[in-house]
Amino acid sequence: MGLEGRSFGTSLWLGLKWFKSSWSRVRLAFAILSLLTANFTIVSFTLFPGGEILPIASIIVIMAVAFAAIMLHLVKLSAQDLGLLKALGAKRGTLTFAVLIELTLLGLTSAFLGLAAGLLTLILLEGLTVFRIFILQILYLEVASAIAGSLTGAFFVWRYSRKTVAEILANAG
Amino acid sequence: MPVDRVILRLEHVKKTYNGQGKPLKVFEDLNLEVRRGEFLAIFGPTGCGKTTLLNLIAGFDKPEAGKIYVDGQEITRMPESRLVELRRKKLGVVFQTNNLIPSMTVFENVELPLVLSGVGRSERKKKVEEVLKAFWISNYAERKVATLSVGECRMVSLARAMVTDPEIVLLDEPTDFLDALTVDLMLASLKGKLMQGKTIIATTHRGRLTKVAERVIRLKKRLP
Ligand SMILES: Nc1ncnc2c1ncn2[C@@H]1O[C@H](COP(=O)(O)OP(=O)(O)OP(=O)(O)O)[C@@H](O)[C@H]1O
Ligand SMILES: [Mg+2]
Repeated sequence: MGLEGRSFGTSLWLGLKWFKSSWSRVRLAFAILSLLTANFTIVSFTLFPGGEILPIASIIVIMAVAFAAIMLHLVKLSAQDLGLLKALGAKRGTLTFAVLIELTLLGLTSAFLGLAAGLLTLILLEGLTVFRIFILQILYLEVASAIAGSLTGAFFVWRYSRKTVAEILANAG
Repeated sequence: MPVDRVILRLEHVKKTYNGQGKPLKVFEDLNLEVRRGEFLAIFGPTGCGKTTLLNLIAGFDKPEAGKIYVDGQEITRMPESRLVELRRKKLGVVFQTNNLIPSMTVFENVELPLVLSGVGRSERKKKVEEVLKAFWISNYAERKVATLSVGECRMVSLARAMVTDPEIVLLDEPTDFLDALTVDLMLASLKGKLMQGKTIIATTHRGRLTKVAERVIRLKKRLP
């Protein structure tokens, strides 16, 4: 059948196009998320040099929530496009997956950029001694919160796109 | 097997909006048959339910009661996944407000329905170029839709509706906001090669379009 492959390609195309064409909308989110990740990196290293897991975990919760909130907002901004794509014959799965691709791209790039910026700042301020073994744990946490944010956005799309086209377009205003 | 002469049938359709305040009955018992290849105009004053009718036909909205058959398939109780497929294969829609994606180029907007149908890249390019030419907008292909005039957006909408070569074309106020000359061009294109054999259902609240249509039905506005 090749149907699965086709859906995947469609989602990929949509996700990338969306990312590219909505860049002006996305770049503020990108800046905020990168800054947040940079901050998290710096705070984790300087305040909790031993890698104390509890305080770090509590900051990561804040970060995950921020990722989720920003991504949810982005998705809601494109509600009108979702209705339109559905009207043009997009399946729910295609839409959800396209959004997941877009948000994951956004989340991961901003997480990596933030981590790099945070580490660079630390190195400049404190020298190379900051590197400890738990840098990987921080990376995992940052990536995890970015992915949690993307999943939240995609879940919203999955729920939202169950509505009829008329409802979506009327609500999106 | 002979194809059914009737491509669209509405039986006892009832539609009420339960939005703000008291319910608004738009249709109480609407019946309509459209022949394959017919050019039908739906004429009526603002608020009489023209857009609502097109929404029901496209399966964008559901009636409370009644049946709607599109090419023999009853759509009011059809699962969403099948409805989406039916739309993709048989319908081309021009929305009253166009609903283009402003941040994408003309080419990308027109390409969208083909992407959703899984058409390959080179085939897409060929079809999009063809349809852009038919609506006199080849020169705009790489322009962002946000930079186009209202009339140009209308043409892009039409191109997007026709790019999949749909059997049924739904046009919501296609001549709105256009100057007399562009209306003529548009009406000519509705009679043109690209539209040959298509079933066209167009709404209008002005007379021009009703003159080129083969049949006109009039909707009255229900007084509250
Ligand atoms: N989502 C909705 N909720 C509540 N009422 C609605 C909704 N959509 C339309 N209506 C009402 O239903 C009636 C018919 O609306 P519709 O948009 O179908 O009119 P129309 O004939 O297309 O008008 P126009 O020529 O101005 O486009 C109007 O009175 C409108 O206010
Ligand atoms: Mg209308």
